[in-house]
Amino acid sequence: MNHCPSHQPPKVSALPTAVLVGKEYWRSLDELFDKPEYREWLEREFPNQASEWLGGTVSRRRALQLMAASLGLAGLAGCRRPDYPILPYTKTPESVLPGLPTSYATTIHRPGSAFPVLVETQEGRPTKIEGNPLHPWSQGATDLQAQAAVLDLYDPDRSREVMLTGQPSTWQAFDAFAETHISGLFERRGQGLHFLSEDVSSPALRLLREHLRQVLPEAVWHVHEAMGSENVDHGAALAFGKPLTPTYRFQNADVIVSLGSDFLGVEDGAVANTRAFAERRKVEDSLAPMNRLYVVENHPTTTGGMADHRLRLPASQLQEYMLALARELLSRTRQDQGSDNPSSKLVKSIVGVGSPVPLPSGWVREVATDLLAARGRSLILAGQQQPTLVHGLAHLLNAELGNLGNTVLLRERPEERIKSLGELTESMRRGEVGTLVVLGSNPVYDAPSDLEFGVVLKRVPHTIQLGLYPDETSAVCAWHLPMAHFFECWGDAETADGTYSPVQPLIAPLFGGRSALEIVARLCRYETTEPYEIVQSSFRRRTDLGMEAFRQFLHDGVLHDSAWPIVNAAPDWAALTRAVEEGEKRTADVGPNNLELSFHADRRLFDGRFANNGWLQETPDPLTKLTWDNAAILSPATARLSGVTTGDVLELNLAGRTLQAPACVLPGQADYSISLPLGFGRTRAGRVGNGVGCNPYRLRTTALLNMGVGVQLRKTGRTHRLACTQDHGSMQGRDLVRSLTLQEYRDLPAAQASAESNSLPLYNPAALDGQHQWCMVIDLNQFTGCSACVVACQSENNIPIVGKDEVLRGREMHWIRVDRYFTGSADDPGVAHQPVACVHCENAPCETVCPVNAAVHSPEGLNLQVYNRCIGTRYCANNCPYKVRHFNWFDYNQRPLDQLLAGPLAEKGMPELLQMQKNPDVTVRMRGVMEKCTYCVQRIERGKTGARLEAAGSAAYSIPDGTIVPACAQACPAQAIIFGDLSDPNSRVAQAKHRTRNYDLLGELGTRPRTSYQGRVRNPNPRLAATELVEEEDG
Amino acid sequence: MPIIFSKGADVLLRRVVSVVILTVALGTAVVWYYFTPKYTRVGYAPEQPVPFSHEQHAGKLGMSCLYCHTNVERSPHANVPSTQTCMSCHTQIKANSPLLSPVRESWSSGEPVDWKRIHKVPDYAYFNHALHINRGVGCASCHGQVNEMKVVYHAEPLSMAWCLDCHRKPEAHLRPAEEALNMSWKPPSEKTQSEVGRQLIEQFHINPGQNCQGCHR
Repeated sequence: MNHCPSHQPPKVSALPTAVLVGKEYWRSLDELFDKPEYREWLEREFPNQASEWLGGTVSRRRALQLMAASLGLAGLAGCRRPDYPILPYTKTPESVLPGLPTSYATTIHRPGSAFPVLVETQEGRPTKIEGNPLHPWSQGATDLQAQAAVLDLYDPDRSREVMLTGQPSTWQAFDAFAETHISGLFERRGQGLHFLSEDVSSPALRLLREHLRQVLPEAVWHVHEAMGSENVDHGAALAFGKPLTPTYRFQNADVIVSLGSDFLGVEDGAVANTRAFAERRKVEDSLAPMNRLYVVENHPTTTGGMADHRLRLPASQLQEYMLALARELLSRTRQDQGSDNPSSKLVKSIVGVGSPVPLPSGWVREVATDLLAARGRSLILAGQQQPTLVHGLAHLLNAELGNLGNTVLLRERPEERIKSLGELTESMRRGEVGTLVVLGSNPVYDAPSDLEFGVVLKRVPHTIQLGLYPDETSAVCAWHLPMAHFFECWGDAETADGTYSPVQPLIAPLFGGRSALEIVARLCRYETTEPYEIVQSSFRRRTDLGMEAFRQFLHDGVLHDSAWPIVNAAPDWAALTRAVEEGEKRTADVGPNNLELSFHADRRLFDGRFANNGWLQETPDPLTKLTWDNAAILSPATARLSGVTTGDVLELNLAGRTLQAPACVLPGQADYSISLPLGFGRTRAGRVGNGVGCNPYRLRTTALLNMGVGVQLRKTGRTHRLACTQDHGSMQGRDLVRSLTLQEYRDLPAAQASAESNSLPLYNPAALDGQHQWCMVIDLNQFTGCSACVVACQSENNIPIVGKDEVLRGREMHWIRVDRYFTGSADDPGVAHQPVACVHCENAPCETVCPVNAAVHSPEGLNLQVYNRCIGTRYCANNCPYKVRHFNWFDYNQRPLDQLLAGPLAEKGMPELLQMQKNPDVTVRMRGVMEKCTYCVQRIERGKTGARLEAAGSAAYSIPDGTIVPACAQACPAQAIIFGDLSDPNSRVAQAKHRTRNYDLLGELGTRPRTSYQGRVRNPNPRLAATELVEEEDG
Repeated sequence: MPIIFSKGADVLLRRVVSVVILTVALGTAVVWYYFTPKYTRVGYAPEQPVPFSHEQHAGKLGMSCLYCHTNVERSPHANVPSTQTCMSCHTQIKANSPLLSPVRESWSSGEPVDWKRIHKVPDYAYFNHALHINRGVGCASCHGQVNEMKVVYHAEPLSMAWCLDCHRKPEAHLRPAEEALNMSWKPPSEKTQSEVGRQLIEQFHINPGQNCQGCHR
């Protein structure tokens, strides 16, 4: 054995058993209660009938016959050497080096905001998306949806041609129609012309709207977002008298109270929030004390999973909690003042309204105490969908605690009169709308159902829709125009705080689409219809800067310091007091006989706009672990009450509207509260998204936009198979995920000799004598479970999707599996997430069993899988204790999902469009091959090559720490994944391995994994923990 | 007891056995030779749309490889020149040659010239030109004496075993990095190739990977 001493991993210390709480974690209710179904699952190893083909029309015998036939034919075809063409450019393009990727900065529009990205292009094909490190909204990280956006670009279901009443037409025909039609509108000063767009925050579009108001003053612009931020605006308007935009600085907050806000999950700015929040969870590096997070919410969210204290409350009672907290805080901050100060009046009005719900007393008292102790360093947040009053009170309390200017920044943005979808529907009903131009929005699918938008739309004489897909709305509109994807057109955007960034094209429109800017410019006869020129005008107007600055703007992808100005504002006590008094008399009597239903954006499909994205459909939801479905989420108590188990199809009846949805029993959901993720049940999304899940928009009305009380629940007697990944590859209750409290961590003795890093030598250990020794550390304290890493890995490593049927058989291909663990009681557990990919064991069990040496070790410590050697015995997967190897059961890359088992003579091959997305630096695997995490070996090699080329002509080369970043670590908003060279004692990863909370997964097996984990540190409030314990015992 | 085998059975058996052995040996030999890249690839010289002569350009005219293969020092791919590169000379020289009509056509239509690929490693193998050129592996080591080829042909097998031969014994092929593009470089007369190679290995810490990770991803 020639182990070089410097390449030995540092002594790994286990967390002492006294504080090791790993064994208390459980993965699912079935596991907690040890149900027979769960045992059967575990013992079977493969799911029931995994080896049988249930869905296809081809019998097993027929399939074998066809295979034999194709084998015979294959022999004939293989004799000639195929010709490969080389097609060089005709004109050499500037700054394209074939074989090396180029990155461009651009921006993805989000509701009322934007997400800045860098897009890697390979010879003009966008292939991978990264965050823009220069932009404060991203800082180099991304979220799930941004990673998956590149797949939408190449979606074969995208709209390809202009359609007129369902028949193919042309742009020329549309232009001719528009020209004559607009002439008529100009004569009437635009009367009857209405636009409906998504909440696109683009200065260029604002410019065009201004022009529109001048030339067609009667035209009306409406904005519709299913999950918009009106309540945030209204809340700020209520509290400060003007619609200020709040932005948060989590890095300054010691105590954070979130009321239904998923600020680390689906809400806008989650990436920046996560970065700032995680900064204060770095126990070792951070000088500032660790923050403490209180979350009050009805359904488990990513943010709730990170909470130090989490309170389950039905959505309809969050306002009660807010009022109680306001009352407690205000009566303590202003106790020495007289009774006629504005604060006392507000408190009086709160008392006058009364609280019909008993709230856990500690949760009001202790949270208030904690907030008061952290004046100016605390933060109260309300979720985007929370009522206006909750937002207003949150602002008030932040002002009262001195947080304005410290943890909350208020920004003033230009105001614009824009009307809502409700007003548009009213006008349509009255017959005032002659021409409706829908830009990107899909209201027929996602408008509140009481508006009956699809029906009313038919009354409009002229309808024009510009959309990426032929969707539900285009089915009703006369004209459907293909929209250019945001990677295909010029534009600009602002994040919610006003930071200005460009949208620049990376590829010419694949299907001849046009952008919204182009269409609007044409319709309002702007001086140019060239989006590039419009963007330049917009830039000049927004900034007063010249072309040189514009080029820098395009290069950086951001105009630095361009956020809206920060303003000071004082809360309007009187308005808030009135709002409390005039607020609806709350009948918050949610209970066994009066269930509540709440809607929330899906963590993957958001409001349904990403429904045709296979990567997002197959990403397991971080909490429910469902793929390819949504479900009505119930707490175990509610489920017991109604006799429902996971998979039962329920009929939900809310105010006379019904919907059938499968049930999913999820610990941590508030009792008597059912929540439904939106975004599913599309009928015209495309081949991937059609008919997946159920459509909660059918229950959603203007009055019951975010929740409704009094939902009737009926079991239909049918069941639905939910493709849930939570039990796949269970690890039999070993202490895999570990946590301890901050105090326990501080009390830990310094590094102890490890009891469990037992290293029995293999018969033929790998020689780890490479110059670099790669390894990884994953900090569970920062990991939120957002799953951006899963899709980043999928995008970087050409990982296929397998479809719902295959997921049900446990055959998903994601190289990173995010395990979700619960701890504590079945009703109200804590949550922990743990990403598991190949841990690159130094003593790898997979390598010793491969009969063809396809699983081998590299001198740099990588556990390699050589695809061209692999013959698919799957011994390695059987012998892997971490269950991180994935087998290509079918030709997922060559066949559409519904034809995986079509005969061997059936058509094969990847559509050219999908080929364009593939990363050329990674082999596209075929059927019968095993695959797994490679630590992004292509990036390692690219980094090494770069360092060697730089050092060409001199002797040694070195790779600075942080040069090589795997896709998962690069995407991670929380910086939870550190990758580096263990042989460099100063590397971040080597330093992290010395921490006392560092541990190996299944270290007792002696596999010596290169990926290690850092135990999670919780920061509970000891006083609240004590009261919770008392209440639990009393209860 | 009846006789099962006739008198000739022994002879027959011997014949059958020797025929089988011969067939197997011959089959092995045929496969060994004809089914390996040494036979299937070496010598492959497809007809190109334009009979471009490297002998003329790189040999007689002495043009640098970099004039056309511009990115070979920077990129994993040695790019095939764009039509623009051809036209930069051929608008003046032989501007009306019928042999160059595909190039002119490409220039006016914007469609690329349909060259045939000669050197190709499998999709799962990743070769990096820049790295080899910058560390002192000459063009000629893999592509042969291209400067003497009227029609380019596949000169070396480019099989994995062939790659590994050099990765195991790099001294047999290394030259000073600045001579990488020199098609007619020879080790100085007072030194042998392996002496030069060994000196370069020591000087530049050249340690070519022999590990799967280097080429397969």
